[in-house]
Amino acid sequence: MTSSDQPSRILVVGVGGQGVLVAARVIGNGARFAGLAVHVGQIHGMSQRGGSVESTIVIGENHTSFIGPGEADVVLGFEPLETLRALNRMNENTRVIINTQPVNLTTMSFRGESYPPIEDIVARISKVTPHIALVDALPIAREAGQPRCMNVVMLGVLDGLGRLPYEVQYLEQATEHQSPPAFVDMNKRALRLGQGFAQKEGA
Amino acid sequence: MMDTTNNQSLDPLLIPDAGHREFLLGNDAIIRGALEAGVGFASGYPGTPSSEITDGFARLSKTCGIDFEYSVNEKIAIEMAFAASLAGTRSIVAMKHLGLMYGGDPLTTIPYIGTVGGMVIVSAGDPSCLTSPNEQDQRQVAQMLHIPMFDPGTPQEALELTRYAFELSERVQLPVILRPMTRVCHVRAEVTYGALKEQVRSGFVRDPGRFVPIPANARRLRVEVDNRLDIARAMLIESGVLRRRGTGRTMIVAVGVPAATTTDLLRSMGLEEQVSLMSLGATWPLPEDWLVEQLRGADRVLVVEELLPFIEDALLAITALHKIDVEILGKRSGHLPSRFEYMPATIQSGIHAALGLGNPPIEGPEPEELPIRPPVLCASCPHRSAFFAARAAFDDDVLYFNDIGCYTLGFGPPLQTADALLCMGAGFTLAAGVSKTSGERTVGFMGDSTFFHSGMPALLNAIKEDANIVAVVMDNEVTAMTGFQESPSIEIERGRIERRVDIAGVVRALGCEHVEVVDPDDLAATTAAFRRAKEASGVSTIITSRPCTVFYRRLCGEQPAKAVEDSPEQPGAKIYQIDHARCQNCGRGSCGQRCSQSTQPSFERAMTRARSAETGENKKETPEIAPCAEACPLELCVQGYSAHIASGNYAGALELIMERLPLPDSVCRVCHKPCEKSCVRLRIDDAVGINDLKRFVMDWAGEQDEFPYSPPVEDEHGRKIAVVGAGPAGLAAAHDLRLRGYGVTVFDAGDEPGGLLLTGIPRYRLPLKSLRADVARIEALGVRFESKRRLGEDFQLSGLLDDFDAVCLATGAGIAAQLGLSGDGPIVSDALGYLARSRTGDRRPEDRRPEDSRPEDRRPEDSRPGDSRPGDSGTQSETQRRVLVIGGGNSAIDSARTAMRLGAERVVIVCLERLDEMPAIRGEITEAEREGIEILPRTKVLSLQSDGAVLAKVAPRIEGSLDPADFEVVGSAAGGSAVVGSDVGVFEADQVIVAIGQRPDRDALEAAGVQDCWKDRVVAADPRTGATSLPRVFAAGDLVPGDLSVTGAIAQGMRAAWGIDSSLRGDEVASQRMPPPEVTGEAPAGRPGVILRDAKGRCFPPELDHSARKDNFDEVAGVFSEAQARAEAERCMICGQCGNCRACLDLFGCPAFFVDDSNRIQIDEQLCVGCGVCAQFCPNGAIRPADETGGEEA
Repeated sequence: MTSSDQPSRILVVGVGGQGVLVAARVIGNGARFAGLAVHVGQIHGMSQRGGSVESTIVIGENHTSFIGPGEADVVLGFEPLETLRALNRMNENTRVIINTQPVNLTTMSFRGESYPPIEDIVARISKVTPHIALVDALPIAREAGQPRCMNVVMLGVLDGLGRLPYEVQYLEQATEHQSPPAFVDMNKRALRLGQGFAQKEGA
Repeated sequence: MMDTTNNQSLDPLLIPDAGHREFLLGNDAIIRGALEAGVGFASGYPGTPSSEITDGFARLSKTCGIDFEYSVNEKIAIEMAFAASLAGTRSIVAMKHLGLMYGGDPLTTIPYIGTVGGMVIVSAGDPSCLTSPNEQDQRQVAQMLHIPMFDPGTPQEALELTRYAFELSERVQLPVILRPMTRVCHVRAEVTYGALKEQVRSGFVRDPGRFVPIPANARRLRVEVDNRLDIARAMLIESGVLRRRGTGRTMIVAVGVPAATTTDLLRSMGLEEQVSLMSLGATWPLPEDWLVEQLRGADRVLVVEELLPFIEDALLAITALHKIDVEILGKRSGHLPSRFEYMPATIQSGIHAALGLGNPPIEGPEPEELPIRPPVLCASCPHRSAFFAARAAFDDDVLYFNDIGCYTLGFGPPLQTADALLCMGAGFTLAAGVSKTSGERTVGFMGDSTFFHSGMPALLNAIKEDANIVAVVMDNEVTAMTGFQESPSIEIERGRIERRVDIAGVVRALGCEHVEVVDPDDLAATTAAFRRAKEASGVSTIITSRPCTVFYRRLCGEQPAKAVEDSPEQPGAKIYQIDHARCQNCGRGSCGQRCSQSTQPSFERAMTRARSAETGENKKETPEIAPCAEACPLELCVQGYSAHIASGNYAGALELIMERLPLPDSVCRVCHKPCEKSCVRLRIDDAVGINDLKRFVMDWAGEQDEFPYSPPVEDEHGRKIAVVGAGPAGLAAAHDLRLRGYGVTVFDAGDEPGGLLLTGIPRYRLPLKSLRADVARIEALGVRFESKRRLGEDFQLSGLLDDFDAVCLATGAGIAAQLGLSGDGPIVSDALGYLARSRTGDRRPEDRRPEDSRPEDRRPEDSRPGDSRPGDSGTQSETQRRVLVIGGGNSAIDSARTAMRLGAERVVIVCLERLDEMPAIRGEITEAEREGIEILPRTKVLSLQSDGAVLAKVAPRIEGSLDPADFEVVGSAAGGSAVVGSDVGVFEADQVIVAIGQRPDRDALEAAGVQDCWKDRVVAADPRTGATSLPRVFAAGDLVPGDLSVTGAIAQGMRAAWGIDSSLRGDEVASQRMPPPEVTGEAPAGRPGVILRDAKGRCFPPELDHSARKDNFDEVAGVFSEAQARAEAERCMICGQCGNCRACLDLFGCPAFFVDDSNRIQIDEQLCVGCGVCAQFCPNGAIRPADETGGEEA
């Protein structure tokens, strides 16, 4: 674990369209509401068209949002293969949370390959860190209202596992702040269901 | 969750309170900084990572009185901002680094004239080319043009530097370039506001001595520029834009984002006391005196700046000039790289290596090698449709030049529409330039926004120079790549897109004569437009017009209307699904053969196929099995081997043919071609020359050093089979049994294997070497042949059953049917005997048998073709001067043409059928006529008389029957002289050849032990297995009822092999190799009535000249040249489904397609938005609206 005066580094990875950037922004806003300094970095543009997307969140006194090799405290993976792609940023203490629902790669489809088994992906990550939580977030998101709130479910799991350096109320506040009025209730539900999942799993 | 912040009454950027803190992107912080400077005008051209700046101003301009425009390009954006400045308004203009170069011209003179209102140019940098085709260091441009440059490292700095830049600009009358990097633009951090400032618009005040830089003025102003820079230097020191923290004599000088990163690193490395940090918020102009002062207090200096060693070189120069004894480290000392962005680890290793401080950075776990997940064109993107149609029209025949925008993504597989890419607007220019120097017609692509940006002059230039190009403007009505900014072609209002500038009108006004506007989602129409452009010359402009689906949905809340509806009953399907009953299913469910090959549809062929369905009478009635395959007794995959031939893969074609055809060299010459009669193309122009294609492949294979195909043979399992008869059925059965691991012995009465192929088909159709090639390959598999062994004479059935596990009888039909004609006069022969005895050229002269004698020595009913017992006479002497042939089948034609070759002067065929009903192969009839043979249809021989035959005109009493008794005479002229021209009368003949059919020799077979299994004249056998009522005895070929063709006999032989295997080893093993099913009739008529918009005529192989056909049996039909074969193969329309089709994946590449765990192609229901374009071309017709397939099984 990093010492308390070191910033907390959370890496959110996924595929364009999954809500990676929005989720990162919610985590960042939560930190603000909790009175913490925060920087959120993102690379977008080409990545929006179904490509790999990542966002980095550095909470604590800092001036940039980089997460270098071995530096991530948490990797919040919205997609299994994209989570594996972030392996270089993990260390033996990194907490990895993976949404197990794959998004197929066109580069594989063109070659007639099918997606690798999720067990293989987990096995490769577990060689670096044992702290892996698997979440099938899609059914939970459906239960909350819509598949698209998968990202909020994942935030709930992140919080439920106690990996945010601030109280849950700030995450709730940030979620509400970020939600269009029509989706506030659904997103709150998604957040709670995610938290509930994490507590039930007790991971 | 959607990316919208809770609606607040006030835009966060407009909150007036100084000290307010807001969570802002760097780009938003820049806007706020400008607002705090009282900016009144903003312009720009979007480009990642700068786009949110223009987007923000676009939003704010509606509420806070700022004038804003998305200019059509950066040059104009800069000029607009400068004009605003001249008019006394503070102005800002935003673009990415590439845009600064495009807009460079006005920048060169602006410092001379000088600004009036403060002017800031934002030029976002992108080290590491994260979203750009290059990285560049704009600081040298600033130096070259005498423009101050600011380098923020964080969003807070971005705000403050922007605000201050206006102040400095207005004070020194120079514009300021702000250079935020991606890691500032796209970092979100808490930012503290200053106060908002009111706009000042002082208005334009004339000052021609300054504002008009004619040379005389320019020289004066040049001096002024230096004065302005001097003031700027002084201001930079006072302002704190350049600052030093700490007093350590070890110093780091850092710029921009690396300065922020270094601040964090020094803290985490515990070096804050030891190392002082000089952060340069501005990098030009550098205040030399201030730097000298700082450097004198240092021992060694590490310069941390991305890209070029700009500051480093300045410091090296200063220390040299001022003789300061300090070590300047950085890129030139090899401690830091001069390319790509600096990650913390880069800087940490630089500090460690150059200064010997701290630890090197940790490396982290080894990254995994994973398939990349690049961005792709969205599901339903109209650009994909346009590229697909272009490929369908041009395929690989042209070079494609692409441009900057979403459509750049067309470069990757499968669309591959970017052979080169340069910069905005160069798509047309590159196309024109390459065309000019190579002479080839080329294709250039660009989007609507790029067209207006810089494509218009490029197109004008091409038109002026009469370039030979196809210019494609892909108008999706928005600048999509950078986040949906408006393009000049449209105006975006709430929920509405209004057309403003008509691209087609512009193109016509530029002087282009060939202009077409198409909806790309109508693949057929778009392909047709591209084809017309392909055939044209000069500049053709195709405008593919359809709004970006993603933007349209966002703006209007619904899908744009479809270009092509699936059917009137099913309009507006929401999503599509794969119908797995059709997808990757060749439709030949009964055959069960594992086909390893795909029909390799190209874009063009997929479209041809799609259009055949689209323009069909009933487009839903897409055939599952191609009509040709359905009509073929062997179910050969014609579309498969045609596709292989079209693509030059002859070995693939050979494999597809020989997997199901054991006698290919013979069949490609003698087949009756039911496939060509069912060819869909027959009703368009002409059938595909299917058998000629097969012939081409076989001749190609024969020319290879080693025959390129050998079938898989199962290991021997010790079971033995006797096959009796080496005709097509027996050979096929032997072949297939051998492949199934049986020991096979073929007993045959003839001189050598071949049966009817040997004795019944003349050599000018089937040369002996071709038949022998087929037989040799079967022999090479390990089949034993025992020739000159006749059942009933040399062995009995019971003996075979003692020695073998099963027997397959394929002795054929050796007894010719008789007409009962008698009387003195012409010699009467039956066709089988005649043809058998006329095997001229088979044997070398010394092989001729001395005992051969005249045919009259034998009773006609005894005639058995192919044996060489005394009584046969394969000589020319049998053929007489005037020959009458009776019959309408192939034997009749063969006999007639043989007689012509053997010296007959006149040959006439009479038959009961109408000409178009004759069962003989159509081409053979034509050839016969061309060789001078006369045919008298609907004619019967009433009797023979001394000088010939009495002919009568007949009509059928019973339609469809061919029994002579069912015909009545409708005209005759008994007696009198021959009047052949009028069809009736006496035909003077010396010889009559009867060719009206044959039957098995039941008497002989019964005598040999084949008893109690007869039904009428043939052996009763299960048509599926060939099993007879006798245990372990199977039968095939003409001995059993059914198809009398060569291919039909082969199919029966293959079914008997399966039947035998199935009875001996069980269904499960046997069925791993299934025979073709019985053909129940010709393929049904009424299959798609296809209209092809560009029919290509059939190719015909060369043939032996008519004049050279007398007195020899040289093969008549020649073979395609390679070019002919490929052209002919391309005429195949792939009418049937394909078991290995991957057209959607291989040709279209929509991200909604994927391959699931069971290797099935699927459509992702989350990604499909229901554009239905894939359903327009799916060659299997397997893509359907989701509610039509009745849902997906689990």
